[in-house]
Amino acid sequence: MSPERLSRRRFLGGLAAGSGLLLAVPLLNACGGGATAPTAAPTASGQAAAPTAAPTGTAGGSPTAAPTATAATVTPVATGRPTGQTVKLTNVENDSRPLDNKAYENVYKAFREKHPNIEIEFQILPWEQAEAKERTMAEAGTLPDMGRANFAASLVKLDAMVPLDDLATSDYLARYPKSWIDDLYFEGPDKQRHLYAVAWFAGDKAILINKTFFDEAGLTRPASWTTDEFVEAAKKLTIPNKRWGVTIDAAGIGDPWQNFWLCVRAFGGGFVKGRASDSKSPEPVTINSPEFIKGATWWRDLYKNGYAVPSAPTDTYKERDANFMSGKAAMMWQGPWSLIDQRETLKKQGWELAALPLPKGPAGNPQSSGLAGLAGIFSTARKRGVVQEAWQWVSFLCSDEGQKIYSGTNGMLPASQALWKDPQFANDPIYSGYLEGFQNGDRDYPIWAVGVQSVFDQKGVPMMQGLLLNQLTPEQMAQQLQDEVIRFLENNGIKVPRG
Amino acid sequence: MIDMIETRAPIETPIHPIISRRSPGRIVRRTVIRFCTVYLPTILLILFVITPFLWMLLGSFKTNIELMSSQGQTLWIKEPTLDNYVRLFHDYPFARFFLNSTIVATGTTMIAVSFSAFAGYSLSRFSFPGRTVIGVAFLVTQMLPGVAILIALYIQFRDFGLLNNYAGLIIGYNAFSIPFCTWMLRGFFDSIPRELEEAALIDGCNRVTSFFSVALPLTLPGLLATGIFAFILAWHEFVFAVTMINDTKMFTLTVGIASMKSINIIDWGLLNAGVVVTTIPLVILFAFVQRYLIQGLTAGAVKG
Amino acid sequence: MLRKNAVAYLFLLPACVSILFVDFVPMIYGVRLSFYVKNIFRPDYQPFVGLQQYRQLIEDPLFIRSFLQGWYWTIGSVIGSFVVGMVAAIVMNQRLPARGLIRGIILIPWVVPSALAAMMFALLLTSVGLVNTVLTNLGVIHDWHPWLSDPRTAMPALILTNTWKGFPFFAVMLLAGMQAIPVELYEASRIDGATAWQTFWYVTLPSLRSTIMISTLLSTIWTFSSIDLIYIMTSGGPFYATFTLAMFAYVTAFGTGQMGYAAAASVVVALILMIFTAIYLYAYLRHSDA
Repeated sequence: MSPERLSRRRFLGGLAAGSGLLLAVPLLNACGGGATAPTAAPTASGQAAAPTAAPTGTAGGSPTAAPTATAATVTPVATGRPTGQTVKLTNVENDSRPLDNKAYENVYKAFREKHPNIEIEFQILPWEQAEAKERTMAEAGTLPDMGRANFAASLVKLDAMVPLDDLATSDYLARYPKSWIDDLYFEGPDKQRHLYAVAWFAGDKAILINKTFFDEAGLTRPASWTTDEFVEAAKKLTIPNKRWGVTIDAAGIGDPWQNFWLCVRAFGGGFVKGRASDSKSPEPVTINSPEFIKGATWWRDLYKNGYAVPSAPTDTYKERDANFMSGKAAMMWQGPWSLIDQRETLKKQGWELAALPLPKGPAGNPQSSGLAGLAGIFSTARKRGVVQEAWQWVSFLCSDEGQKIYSGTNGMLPASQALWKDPQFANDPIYSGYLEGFQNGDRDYPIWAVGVQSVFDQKGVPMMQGLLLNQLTPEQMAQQLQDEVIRFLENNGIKVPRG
Repeated sequence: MIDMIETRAPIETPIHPIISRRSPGRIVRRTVIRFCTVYLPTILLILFVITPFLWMLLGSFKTNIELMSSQGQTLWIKEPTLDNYVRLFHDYPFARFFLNSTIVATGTTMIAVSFSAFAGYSLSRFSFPGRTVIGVAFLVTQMLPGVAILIALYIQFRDFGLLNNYAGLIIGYNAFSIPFCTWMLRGFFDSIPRELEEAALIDGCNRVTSFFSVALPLTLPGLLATGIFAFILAWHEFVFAVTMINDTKMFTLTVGIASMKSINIIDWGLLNAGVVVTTIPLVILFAFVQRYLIQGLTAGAVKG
Repeated sequence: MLRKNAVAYLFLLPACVSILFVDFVPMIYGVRLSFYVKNIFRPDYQPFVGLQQYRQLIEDPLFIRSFLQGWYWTIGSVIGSFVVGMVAAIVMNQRLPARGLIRGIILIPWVVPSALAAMMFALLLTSVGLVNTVLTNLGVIHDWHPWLSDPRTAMPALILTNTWKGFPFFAVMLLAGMQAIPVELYEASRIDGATAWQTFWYVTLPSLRSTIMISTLLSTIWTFSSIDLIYIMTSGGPFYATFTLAMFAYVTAFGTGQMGYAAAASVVVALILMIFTAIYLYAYLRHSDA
């Protein structure tokens, strides 16, 4: 090929590529499903004030919460928009084990029968990046319409969520334990508290055990046990170099801290003097306490004495789970997130799964509040004028009917007192370790300490690692953690009184 | 003229002493030395490279139970299975991930190479005010860690509708690869004797035509080498893609596989299969293309 | 004259526009951001604080530690990749059977994305992974070792992974450089009766000077700012043992949501790299003949 021909082709190619880029932007935008592609025409003008239909809640501060004229009917199975117009919604989720996906499928199927004009696309935002990403998306205005709202606290501050006061009836909320209802209210941009989420599934922590190993070691399954008995069991279950009594996760966000904090609370440690759920306004922080130190020491000693899998400092919940599932460890702290799956996996290896309540420490048998899954509607739906349709889905998903399908498929626990009495859950031995905990649960931190979870995840967890590696003493951790928390709160304008 | 570059024979770096060929003992000794200094490192190197990869390949044919059990990590597969691959394509839009990566990488390569060719030639051949400044500026842009620009970029891209689509990724990757590609191509252009272009100018071409008809064809190996760099960069990239793309349908391969890690706690088999599927096409492509890459770099005689 | 310059600028235009939009503008925004407190949890409280956050950084012990560990990570990886890359370049330069195939194989780590390489090695380094299995069977260690959980071995394990991933870059650059060395130099050394090692040290290496300079400089810059591998393998743990400066910036931004503070850290990273580049180039030019 002569240089001449080559060069001309090359030139044209370059020109084509360059102009192609300019032309392609709008084209590819269309193909790729650009982030801002509203398909539904709003039914009401965006700035209309909320109709005065609902007596509950004051929608005063948020003029853009504009339900359509059908706001009067706020039952979960309200009729949809005028027939003929398909509404497309996006739903976000942070977990997606195959059984989770299946659970969604089943609920969606049932939902479609009731509302054939609403189509939903399911997006998945993996846990690890979820909070940071959702914040970024909130700032940029690209959140999905609705879905998992576990980070409601921070999103509400960014005015990224739609208040549900007018949409959820008191009957709907009465299905929950009283203490939960409080946790569904957040302070909105108008400095008033509104309902921003509904409860979707429940869960606290229990000790999942490999019952086969327990039987082999001659241990019984007590109805309740103490922290000392727990350590004894861990010791008996440890076979040097083959198996460990317990597997601890000390890396990653969410789980590791929660599990650790439960141990601290079992010994009487806490964020504030009383119950965190009862603390409504800033009061002295009591993280640095002898009780905390005792609890942290107990937790650390499990590892120090060799009853815990040595890779704990870098084990995330995935590795911890893998340790348990492969028989490397006999016990672990775990929530009821995929019990069906886990039972099957153990069975395939000839082992039996069982759940025990958390061991009782000097301060009793602490539980987290039990409110695990929240669902809500994001401001994107408000902008697109599809709040009503979004509510149809959210309310169905979290209704007794929807939850029965969902939890029945993937083995989670529903968030409804009525359902707990349902034989499907009440009669299964796996759930027994969890159900009783719901009655005496407490939050990890008070409602006014907004965002402090990030301090626990980003600073607390590395301290846990330091504890395990003997580079930090429990006393040092107590002091440093308290300092970090207070500094964080004050940097965010929350004045913490000194106690 | 083009021949001059292509027939430059590879030179063997002598790393063993010259020994007279006269006696058989010497031949044996020579072979042994050659083995130790040449073959042994080669074998070790190949082992070093391949072992992790082979292990993944092996693991992709094992069941999850086998992968997880304490005694399961052996060379012998107790229950070979294709299930992981089946699930890979069935449960996840893997083919779609692949397509996305290909489109983005190809687009990036074509554009980055063309733009860099123009820019590199300009920096190489012309002297104009601001030449050093721009050259330095190109280098400086390499140095800022992604974090600092990520948030700003996200907001910018959102405003321009560049999220969740190919265009956004291509534009981003272009910007990331152009500095390095420009620098590389500048080196190539530097190595082409000016006399050739002088001759073309005398013959009546202007700068632009001489670029297309003389300089560019001579740098073909260089263009190819640069293209490969850009392609790999776009294929690999993770942090930028994971921030800009939320729609599962638009995930690139790298993001897709990384997201699989969160999805199912215990699915190492699936992960292994995913890694294998991601790397094999590239390896094959690379096997064909590596000759040109090295030729291209040699031609450019990578200098400062 | 003017027309000639016009062509020059025109040629530069497409590249500059691309970079301007995606690299420079956000960079300026990043610098500006570093002068404000911008915490995700307090959208209503974002004051201008000037250089205060930079002062905070210098006093932050974690920052200092990340700085040092960042260099540990970078220098370890670059040296590792360089050495292995040099060996690989020499190997690839030999007349061997199936040379093309061997070259192709050696370059495999280059085409594997960092994120995937990280996952691969994380699996290899687990308690039942290949590394532990082989080492225990060979009797090198008695018991499996949690490589990534032990602060003493975590960073070396990461460096090993990065070496595996990064050496092909050096191999290719060095190989190309080697092939450009004129035959006459080798013949001259042969005539002078130099040993292999002497040839390597006095002929090969000096000729590769500029190649070595460029590739190590680029590799240093890229490695110092990279977080893919570290994030996926250890997330900076255990207990900050593998926390580099780049990780500090990323985690501060996306973990604790302190955007302004993180921007300040990123600016510092950029400055450090620029200073490093300046010193490096200066030293190189000082000792160079050209």
